[in-house]
Amino acid sequence: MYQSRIGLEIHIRLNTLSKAFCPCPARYGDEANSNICPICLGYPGTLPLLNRRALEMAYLLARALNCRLSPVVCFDRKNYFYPDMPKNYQISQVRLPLGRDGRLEVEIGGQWKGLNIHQLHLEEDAGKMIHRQDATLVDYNRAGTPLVEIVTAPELETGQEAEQVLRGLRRIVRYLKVSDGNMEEGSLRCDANVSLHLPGEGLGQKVEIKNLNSSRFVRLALDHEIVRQREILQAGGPVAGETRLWNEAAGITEPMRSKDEGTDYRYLPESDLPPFFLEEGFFSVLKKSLVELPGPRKRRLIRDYGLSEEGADLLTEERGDADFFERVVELGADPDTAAAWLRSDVRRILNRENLSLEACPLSAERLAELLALLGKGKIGGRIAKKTLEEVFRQDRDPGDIVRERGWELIGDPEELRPVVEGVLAAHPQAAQELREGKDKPLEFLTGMVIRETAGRADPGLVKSLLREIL
Amino acid sequence: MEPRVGNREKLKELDAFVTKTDGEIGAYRIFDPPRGLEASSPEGPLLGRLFAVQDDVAVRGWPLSCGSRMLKNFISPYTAPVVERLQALGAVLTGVTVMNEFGLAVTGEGEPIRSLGPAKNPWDGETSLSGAAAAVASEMAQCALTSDISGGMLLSAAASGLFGFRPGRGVLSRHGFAVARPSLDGPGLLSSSLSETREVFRFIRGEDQNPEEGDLEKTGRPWRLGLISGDESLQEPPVAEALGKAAAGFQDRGWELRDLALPRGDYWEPVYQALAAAELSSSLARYDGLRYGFQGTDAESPEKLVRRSRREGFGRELGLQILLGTHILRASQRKRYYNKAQKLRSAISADFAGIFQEVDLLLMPIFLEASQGGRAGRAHHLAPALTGLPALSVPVGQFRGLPLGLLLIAPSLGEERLLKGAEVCAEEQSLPARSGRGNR
Repeated sequence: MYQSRIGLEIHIRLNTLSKAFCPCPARYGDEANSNICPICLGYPGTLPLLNRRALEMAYLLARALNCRLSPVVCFDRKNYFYPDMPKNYQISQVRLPLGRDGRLEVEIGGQWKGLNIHQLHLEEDAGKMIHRQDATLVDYNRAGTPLVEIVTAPELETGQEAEQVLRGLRRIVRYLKVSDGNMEEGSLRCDANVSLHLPGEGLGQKVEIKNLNSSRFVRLALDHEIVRQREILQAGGPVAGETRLWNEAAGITEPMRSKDEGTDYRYLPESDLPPFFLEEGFFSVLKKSLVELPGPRKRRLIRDYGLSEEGADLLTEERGDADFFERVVELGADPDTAAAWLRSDVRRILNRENLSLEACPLSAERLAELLALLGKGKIGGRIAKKTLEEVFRQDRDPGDIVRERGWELIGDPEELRPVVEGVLAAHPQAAQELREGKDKPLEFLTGMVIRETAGRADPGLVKSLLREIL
Repeated sequence: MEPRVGNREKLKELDAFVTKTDGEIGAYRIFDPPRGLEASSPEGPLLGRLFAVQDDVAVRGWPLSCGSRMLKNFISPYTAPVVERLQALGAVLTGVTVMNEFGLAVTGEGEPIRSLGPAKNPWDGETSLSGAAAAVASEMAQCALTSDISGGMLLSAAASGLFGFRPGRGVLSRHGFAVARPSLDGPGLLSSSLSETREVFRFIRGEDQNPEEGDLEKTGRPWRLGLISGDESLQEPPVAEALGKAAAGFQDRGWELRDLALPRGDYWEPVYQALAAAELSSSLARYDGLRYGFQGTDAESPEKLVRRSRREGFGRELGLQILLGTHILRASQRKRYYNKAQKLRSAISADFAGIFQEVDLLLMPIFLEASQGGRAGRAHHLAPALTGLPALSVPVGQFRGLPLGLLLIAPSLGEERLLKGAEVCAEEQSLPARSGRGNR
């Protein structure tokens, strides 16, 4: 009966080296108040200096989200008092966000859905407050670091859709290398607005939900909130327009006790940063920096390589993985095999050794070589796995390792014949059963031969030899 | 006073002079040239040039209070690039001069607070003046780096027989000038000599990428001077006379004269007041006692601490201006005040742009009463603040013992043109030899 509408307000921390308006390092995890200067601390007389890289990254993201891009860069002040804000105003964009009317493609339940983006703009982050029993401490390392804020249209309907949007956005910012996009680490933050209405009516009273620290909590909180609002409406009561906080432990949303409701930000233009007119070159460089986004890439991998939905999904989680995959296939490997190896054996070793695909001994060339050896029957399956381990351990080419260890499959029947005969002699009962036409001992005897040859016997050849001898 | 001071002897002389003089003038908050010498390059084209800075210009290790209790004990951790440049060229900082709290000279009711400043005008030892102008006018410094707030520097210059130079917006770096009204206030230079003004400006401006002076010479047509005499009924005779003399001087040199009406003159003051209050309400928000500056005592919560710091740290009138500015920017009020003021400001700027299609330079009076801190006539001194155009206050004689000044305004990037025009004015009027206390 009631329909829900969800809009998201997402903040993404950009991966720049320095802060948005001063040269301080934008590093995380450093000792408190070690990355500060008179500018980001709002000392008298200081002026902000716009970080060009932050601007480029913000525009790159805006373009990737199909926004209309503003050729003029304008900043405004958002005024309010809070101890984590050194100037007691935030430099943001209000009149003229750098990107507007964009669109984000998200995959929800196998279907691709478009979500309209109202706007995208650049702003600075506040410091961090740490509450202790006896005092509140403020760390200004984060104050002034660049954020991109994205405001979506209220078109989502379920918590799951919101979760998928965040997952999709995370992939995009990682593909573009503009952010890590990790909610748990705070490089991606999300507030949600949700309202209910009856079909035919306009949007209902919206409630803002904050304190959502993972995409999973976003889903849970929204699902809970929708139920809560529905119950209120069904009982005849009005939903209060308020801000509620997600309580992880209790699994519910609670009203926020603070007095920050209805703050009037008294916006005015940031006169310390006059309007900046972007040159034509800026936009052409931007165009060149765009990469194929996760959605289109996944669709293309399925179409061009015949991968499964799940396989393609796993491969496109990180741009580096997809690049690696395509390179391996370019070098001649079979797509399905390559994909399977990447998601199982390779992934297992990477996780175990805590390595990334970009920075490990296994290059695309080496994996292609390994798969070629396997594909041409030069080595067996088990040997291939062992070789993979050795590539990681020794940082050498698979071909060299196989040759050195003498791991090539024995393809010469004459070399195998004595071994087969020996195995048959050692297992007369099995040999007898095989002679009588039973199939079961075939696998067993083949396995024994393979074991005798330390995995180097070609199973197919063994089987034909067995049959021939008997 | 010797123009070049490079050794301890000279500094001792200066010290003795200032000790004697400043007791009555009260220009300096801190006077310490030996310390200033430490940060100066031992060589350079401005070697030994003595300059003071106003209390709102940042110099590392020196106090920066903007005339406010809020920053009474604040020491700046960095130096303004313009000051660094002066020091790198050999100039020596003599000290920091006193000012009204964030330049606030007049209350909302039109009452002067300390009209032009907390120091005394050396010309009469009575009327008030900004510390920077008082220091230069009484020869306790050769020039001063200051900020023009609400046209106060231009008025101070006029009141003390100095050249008050306000380059156009953006020409000099504003980094290190703790101005509270960022789109309206700007850096300024005070000096008693035009050649010094020109020289110092050229050095601190750096290389001029697009020198424009050649243009007019190339066209071969006569230069055109726009005269804005203002409302006849408000003309003060000595000012009218000075204006007439200056105009004649331009004419003698082949300039064409055009009489012009002041564009939207009635609106300049209210537009300035509205925008100034709005901007300072935002720019002063950073002063909350949490990171630096005056901290209120005995507060039980961060919020109370901030309230107390600001209530006790700011003067009463400044506090009222902050409230006014806050009100103007409120969502429910902004259309009525702030947006209107901004629109009018754009119109005023457009008016000036139109005027500069017709003329190459503008000359207008600085009203006597205004230049002594009262309110009278038009607020000509607000023109540069509202438009961002370069302006120069030129001393053109005296009336009853106090100096008179006229205001020259040029189009954007027309600083050289201003200096050229000032030459004409200055030659024309009988300027007494620099008559600070030192020469009387």
